[in-house]
Amino acid sequence: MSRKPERGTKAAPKVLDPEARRRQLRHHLDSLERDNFVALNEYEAIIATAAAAATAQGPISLTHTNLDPLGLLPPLSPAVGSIVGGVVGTVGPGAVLSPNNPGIISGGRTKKNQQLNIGAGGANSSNSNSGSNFNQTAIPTSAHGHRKPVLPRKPLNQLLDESGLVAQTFLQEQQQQDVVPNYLTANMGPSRYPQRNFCSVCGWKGVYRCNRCGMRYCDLRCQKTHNDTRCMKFTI
Amino acid sequence: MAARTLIVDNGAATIKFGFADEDTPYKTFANNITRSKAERKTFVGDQLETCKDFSGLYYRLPFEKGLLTSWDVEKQVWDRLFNGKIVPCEPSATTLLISEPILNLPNIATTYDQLVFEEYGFHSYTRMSAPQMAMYNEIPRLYGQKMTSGKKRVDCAVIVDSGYSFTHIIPFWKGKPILVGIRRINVGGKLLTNHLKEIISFRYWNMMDETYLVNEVKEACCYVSNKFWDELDICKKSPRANKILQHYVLPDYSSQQRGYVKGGSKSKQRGKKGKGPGKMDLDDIEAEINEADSEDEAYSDQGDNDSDEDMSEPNEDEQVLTMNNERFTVPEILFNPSDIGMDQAGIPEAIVDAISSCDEEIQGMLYANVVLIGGNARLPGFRKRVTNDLREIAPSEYDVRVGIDKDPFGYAWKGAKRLATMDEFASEFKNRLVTRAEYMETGSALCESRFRSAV
Repeated sequence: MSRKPERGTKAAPKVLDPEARRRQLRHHLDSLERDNFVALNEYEAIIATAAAAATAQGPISLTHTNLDPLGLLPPLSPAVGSIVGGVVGTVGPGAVLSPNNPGIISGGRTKKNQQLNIGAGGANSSNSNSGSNFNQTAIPTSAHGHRKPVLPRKPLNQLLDESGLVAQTFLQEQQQQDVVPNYLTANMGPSRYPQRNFCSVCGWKGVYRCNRCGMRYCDLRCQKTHNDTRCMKFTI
Repeated sequence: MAARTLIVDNGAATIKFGFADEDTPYKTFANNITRSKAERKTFVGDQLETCKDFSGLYYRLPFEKGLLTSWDVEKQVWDRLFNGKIVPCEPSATTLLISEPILNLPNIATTYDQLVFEEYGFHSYTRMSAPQMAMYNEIPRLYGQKMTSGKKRVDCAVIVDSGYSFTHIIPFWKGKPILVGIRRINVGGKLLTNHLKEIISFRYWNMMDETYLVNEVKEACCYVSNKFWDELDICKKSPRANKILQHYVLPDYSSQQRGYVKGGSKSKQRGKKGKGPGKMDLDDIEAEINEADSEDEAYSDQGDNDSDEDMSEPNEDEQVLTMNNERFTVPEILFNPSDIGMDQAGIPEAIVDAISSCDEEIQGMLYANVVLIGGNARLPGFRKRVTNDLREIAPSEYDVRVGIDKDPFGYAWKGAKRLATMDEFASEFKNRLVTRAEYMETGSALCESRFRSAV
């Protein structure tokens, strides 16, 4: 009777699926739009402060899922950038707005921004604009007695919604009229040439891809560096 | 009414401003509020020039993705500018010529109007996009030609404005932008700096907090390559054979305020010890652009690597940043945004796409009058690369000419100055203006219609 060697209960090596890789790419592109860098250890402190403030204000709990209703944010989230500086909307979720999906854009994004607004308003008392002015068009008077202009610090997505351009473009396309060019339609489309791949470690030609996370490398040395340092580092 | 005209090119990174009637060149300062962790002080706009330590600067920008969203930040910067702290400016007796982003959102545009008239009380003002300002320059001069006599402005041109937030391609016909031909690539100076920060932080030193410093490194070391794959191979060689490799000495902010490229000859050094930060070194920029155009390899202009003595002498106090293929792969994103995974075409393709959507009869003229403006156009080798790439994909029956001014950064401002001062444009300028009285009566709609239709 032969004894089969006991198979160790090793978990299958984690491999990122294409959806996760796309998420990672989107997050990376968003982070390139940031004004300031926020380190990971500050993230927890900020979330704690914001959560405390939020619970004081109402039944909104800033859990990770609440911050990210569409499930687009991995841990090192651009949402943090918004809360830290008190500059809500410094990092807009950098989705390329397509006129064909107005519903998704307004629904998902502004909801998230709303929650961030409330959190930030509490956490940053010096930031008087975000909490109270939100969705208001109050008109205070200035020293001259003229109407003082409202100084909104609205996130870009909200401004885009309010401009009515998404709806306007959508309608014009529906009715097959000539679309009046605007900020959204001027966005350049994709290139006809294929993507060039570079090694994520040294920058030379990235011929090979990591099996697990999909980042590129050029030779064995770079592969070793990649595995030691940042394979799968930014994933849950 | 002796109203002075104040011309303000209100960009996302910097404000270029100056009075139209003065002969002095425009002045620049950063359009943001920065907080220095080291000095624990906040600097509004131009106060940054008084800052001693640029490490760990925290930025608050009024612009977000190129559109003005944070008005409280912008107002603070404008307060310093318009309330006479920087230049003697009396808003009630001043005509303001201010720039706005291309295809600005209508609700943002009304806020511009509100602020200018109701908050500051300017006498009159007009708002136009930076490329429109640039159109008032003598564009044929960029190609070594004179303006056709009798004409005050070229019939058509394509302006490529590559700035901090994004890059726009705008074809113009008789001074007005052809709206269907406008294209926007979401790659700008900010993205390039952030990308460079990430690469450096991974490969060499962690500089994720040092936006200001990495911006300086980018401006000192980066260039646009004309032979991309060849130069990438050169970078793999040993330091002796690798002409592209550069060492950038990082400043330590105690003895030295700015970093510099090691081994660079004195005239080409961007930073000199103790020099005031924030000043544009126009002579250096001019020299580099002119030289880079005439030589084959743009990278050899930035610091001679022949002086071996400098390289081998290790100075223990110095922190040295190695710049190898980052020097040209970072600006490459302008030409191929797909390099970092962005699903957009680069500048040459966008130019072709933009011109193809215009009337067939003027396409030839448009290809022959491409102008590059904006901060990113200062990268050495930019013009040559755009010309080569565009020539490759443009239809062969058209001539391709790409022009760039010695100072692409201030080209728009100079165009606006011509508009405000020269007699040939006087009636046009007057037709564009909206006075405060008119605004108070009719409101923002008047501004919108007048600025859009006027030429």
